[in-house]
Amino acid sequence: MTYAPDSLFDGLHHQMIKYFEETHGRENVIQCMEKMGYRVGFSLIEKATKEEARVKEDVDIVKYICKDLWNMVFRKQADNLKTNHTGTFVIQDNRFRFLTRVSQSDQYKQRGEMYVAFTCGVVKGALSNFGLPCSVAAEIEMIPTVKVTLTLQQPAN
Amino acid sequence: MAVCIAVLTKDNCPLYIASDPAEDGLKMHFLVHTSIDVIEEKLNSATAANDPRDLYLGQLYPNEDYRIYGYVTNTKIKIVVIESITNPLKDGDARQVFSKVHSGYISLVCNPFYSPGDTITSQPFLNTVTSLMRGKAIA
Repeated sequence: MTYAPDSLFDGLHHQMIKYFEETHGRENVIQCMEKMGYRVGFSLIEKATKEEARVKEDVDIVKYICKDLWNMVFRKQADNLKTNHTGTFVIQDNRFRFLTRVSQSDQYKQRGEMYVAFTCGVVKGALSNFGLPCSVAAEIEMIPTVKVTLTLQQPAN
Repeated sequence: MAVCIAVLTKDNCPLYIASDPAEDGLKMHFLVHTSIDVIEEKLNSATAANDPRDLYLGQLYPNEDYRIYGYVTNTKIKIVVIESITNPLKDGDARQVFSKVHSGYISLVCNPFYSPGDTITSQPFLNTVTSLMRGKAIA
């Protein structure tokens, strides 16, 4: 698999956010980016799981997302995964790719949320294709650390 | 040579069923429908006879005229291939057929003009399946 330079997608991602901000307004950027990410995540998982052995448990599916999906998209694994064993998972990435070049002040925290929206969509699409519909929310405590919270819509078995 | 190839979604809706014109289409539909139960049973059984992590499920159930094979992807898409006893596929060949159908399906999902869940009308996919059913040399 050949990789395009990282800056290519970083630039495109940034322009996507600017475009949605200009055409749909600031409030809708997150929604638009998530929708795009959804379809991308869906296809990505379809392609990636062809050669994989069957993944059965919910926990295994989320672990797959943290390791293999994160590796595919960001070329590194997610740094931390926490669960409360009742269907909620928190994936933590300490150097979130799209925020590594943003300065670490609170000034950009709100705008930072728009930069995580696409990734949330990718995770949502991926889980949905595995058969686990869920809601995904992102939290930025301190740039560039991002926590993505997944809430599965059915109780985990 | 396969006489019928079917692709079903996770909710068991048929996305695509194609059978050899020489065979009774309704009977093929019926066989595919009955194989859904067997697939679900195989997926849920904790003590699977074959490797539970394998996507290929092998022969689903015995029938006097046909052999029915199943395959479930990680994304819960079920593929059923029916072939007649008079012209059986070897086990390795069956896996290859499923692999090709799966690849065809992946190409379809990656197509931005296809919405997941819609019936499959894409020409390349139809061509792949038709050539598999005609038993062209599996390259």
